[in-house]
Amino acid sequence: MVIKRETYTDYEIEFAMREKEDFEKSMQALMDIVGATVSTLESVAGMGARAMSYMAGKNIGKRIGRMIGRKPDVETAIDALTDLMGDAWKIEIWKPATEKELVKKTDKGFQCKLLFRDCIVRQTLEREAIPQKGTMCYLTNGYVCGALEVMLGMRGKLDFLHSGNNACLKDLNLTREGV
Amino acid sequence: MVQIEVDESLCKGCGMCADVCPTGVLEKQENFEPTKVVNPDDCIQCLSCLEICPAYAVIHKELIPVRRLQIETSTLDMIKKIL
Repeated sequence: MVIKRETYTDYEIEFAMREKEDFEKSMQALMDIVGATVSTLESVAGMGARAMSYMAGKNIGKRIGRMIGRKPDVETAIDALTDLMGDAWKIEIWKPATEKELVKKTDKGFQCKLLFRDCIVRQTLEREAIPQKGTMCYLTNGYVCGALEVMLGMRGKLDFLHSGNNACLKDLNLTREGV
Repeated sequence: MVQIEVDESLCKGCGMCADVCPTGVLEKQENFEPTKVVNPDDCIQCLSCLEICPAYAVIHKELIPVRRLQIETSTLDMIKKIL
């Protein structure tokens, strides 16, 4: 078997690096804009800002859910969502070492804990010095809930358990009621 | 997998790390004895204990840090030069 070695010219490397830098700069500018918008929205609309961002997130999530399509279980749905979100969010289902099942069955549906590792919202908050568990975090909650609701055909609710600098833990409840 | 340790020579036993840990990895001891790691497998690597510890006594080994896209490349280069 012959392995073909790929070679790049200096121009190609420089072009790729410049493209990466441009992307980063654009993304950081967008982070600044979103951060400023959200902090202003909070000061104008108060606690209502959270509901607004939750609904906005849910609308985007539903669109993403329709794009992905129906999934048979929570694990598959979370994997499909994480694959699609790429660098923006990395979500895993988490359980304590003592528990056996990742996803618990409840009377009305399912319950599990979600671990958010990479999160573009957290990064924006850190850049703009905005505290966690605020308006922008509700956007993430809405986004994930909206996508899962469409993918699984259930009603979702995502609650904060813990927000850290390197990871966040949230409680996901999925019910068949009110679908 | 992450390994979490508490440096007993630095720990003052205030227990703030144990209070902030969401998964009960750390346990506060009586009489300001150094905090103990009781449940290392449940560490989610949130780094809240590391941030809150005033004595920098909590150590994480083989940690997977998240992407820091919010930090500009020029700043990262500068930090690398300093380090």
